[in-house]
Amino acid sequence: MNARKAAVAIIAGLATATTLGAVDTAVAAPKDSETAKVETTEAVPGGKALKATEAKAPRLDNMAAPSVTVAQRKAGTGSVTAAVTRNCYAYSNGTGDLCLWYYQNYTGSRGGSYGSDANLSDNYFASTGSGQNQSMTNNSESTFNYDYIYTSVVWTNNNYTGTSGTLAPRAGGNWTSTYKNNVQSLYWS
Amino acid sequence: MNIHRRRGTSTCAWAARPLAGFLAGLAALLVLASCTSAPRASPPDPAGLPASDEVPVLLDTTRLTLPVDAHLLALSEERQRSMARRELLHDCLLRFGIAVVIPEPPTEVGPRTRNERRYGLTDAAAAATTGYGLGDRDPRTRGGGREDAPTLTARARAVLTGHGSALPARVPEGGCSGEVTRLLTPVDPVTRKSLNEDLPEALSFASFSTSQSDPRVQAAFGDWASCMRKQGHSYAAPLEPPADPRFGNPGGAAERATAEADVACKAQTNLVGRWYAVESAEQARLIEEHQSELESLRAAELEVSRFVRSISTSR
Repeated sequence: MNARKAAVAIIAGLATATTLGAVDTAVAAPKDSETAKVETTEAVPGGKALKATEAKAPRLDNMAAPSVTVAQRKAGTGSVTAAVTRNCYAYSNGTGDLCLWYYQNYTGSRGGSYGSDANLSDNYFASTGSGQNQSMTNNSESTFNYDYIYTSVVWTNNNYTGTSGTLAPRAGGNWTSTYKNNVQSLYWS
Repeated sequence: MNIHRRRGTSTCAWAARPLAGFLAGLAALLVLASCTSAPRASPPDPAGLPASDEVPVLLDTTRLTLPVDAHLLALSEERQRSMARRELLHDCLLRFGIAVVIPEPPTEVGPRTRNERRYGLTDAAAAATTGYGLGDRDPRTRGGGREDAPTLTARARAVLTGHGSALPARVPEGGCSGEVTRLLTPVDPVTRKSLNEDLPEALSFASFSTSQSDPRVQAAFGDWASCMRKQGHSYAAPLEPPADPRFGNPGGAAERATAEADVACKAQTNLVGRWYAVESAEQARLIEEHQSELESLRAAELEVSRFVRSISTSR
């Protein structure tokens, strides 16, 4: 925790933004505790089980979309590409974050990613709840693409290595068994 | 693409298997490749493990396909679906008098294929120049796309999403987004119920994961790790270096040196061929187990692909 990078107020306005909550079912038990997990019917081994997920992703308030200059983007220092600790957001222009939750069924702490990111190791779950401030990499049990327009392509390892998955706009679910805890890089298509 | 080869022969051919339907676009990418040495015989398969009859000598995985890939949309096809979604969203919004230009994300970014980096980096030239990064294909270096998406009025947003106080009459359920999602979802041709379109990815994830604990793959990891150690790099498995937190400055000298050693050690130990053989066998087993679901899905995906093509050709 001490070594964790400090939370960054990414964009003016976002830091004070309020997201609609009622989603974070704080679970005190450690993550590896069976009692802390909500089991769902898994039809297949591994992967996201969208059809098996009964929970609905929480609605989020619409925010102004983040902006980043070309110079920042190229330098990898822009607000949406730098290592961040941030909540999940849906934006007023129809775009939205890829949101990752610590637990299944969109519960526990969550963190969002707006830009393409080759390394989620330095992103941290942001909202109040179990898993808050922990690294998002290798640590997520459910996910939702809040974007209405663009597809998120995710990879199981940093720098787009490993195996890949796609999350269509407004799609999500629990990462089941083998793929659970395994989103480490992503881009938008 | 499958490898068809008799055990113990010195010839080694990649046979381009015709990929039906929605993978047709990929067929152009299929190439014949030759192996560089005689295949090795597989060790006796431990009880319970699927047999991997052939161990090809492999390094570059860009055009490599595994059995489940015949059921997966290629990245290029995923991109076509995304483009189709945006075109359909545009048309739907226009029906309500809302004209917006929805920007396309940059092309030629990310790995070229799903398998290019499946077993880690295998490109010696890229290792020497960009380390584990994607260089010119790094999506972060390109502008455009969603970051330039136009501002929407409250009414436009309501039509897009199906939510909001400015929602006009006769907006489809879930807004234009809901309508387009329904149009692009593979459904059973008889019942019209949506199918589990995530199944192929799920099987791909499963084989990728389980293969890593297979003793034959573990042995390959051990050989690779030993090779790396001799060159001064300490890693237990080939997916560790691309995630090494020490490489804070992407493409730095230490990263490039590690990446070069990584690719060289993969070549030296045939890590890719050994891993691929085990994972392919596991995927073949999984396909057999889910044959019926996969065939239904493939037929439904073909229908979606035909629809997507009809959109792009009508413009």
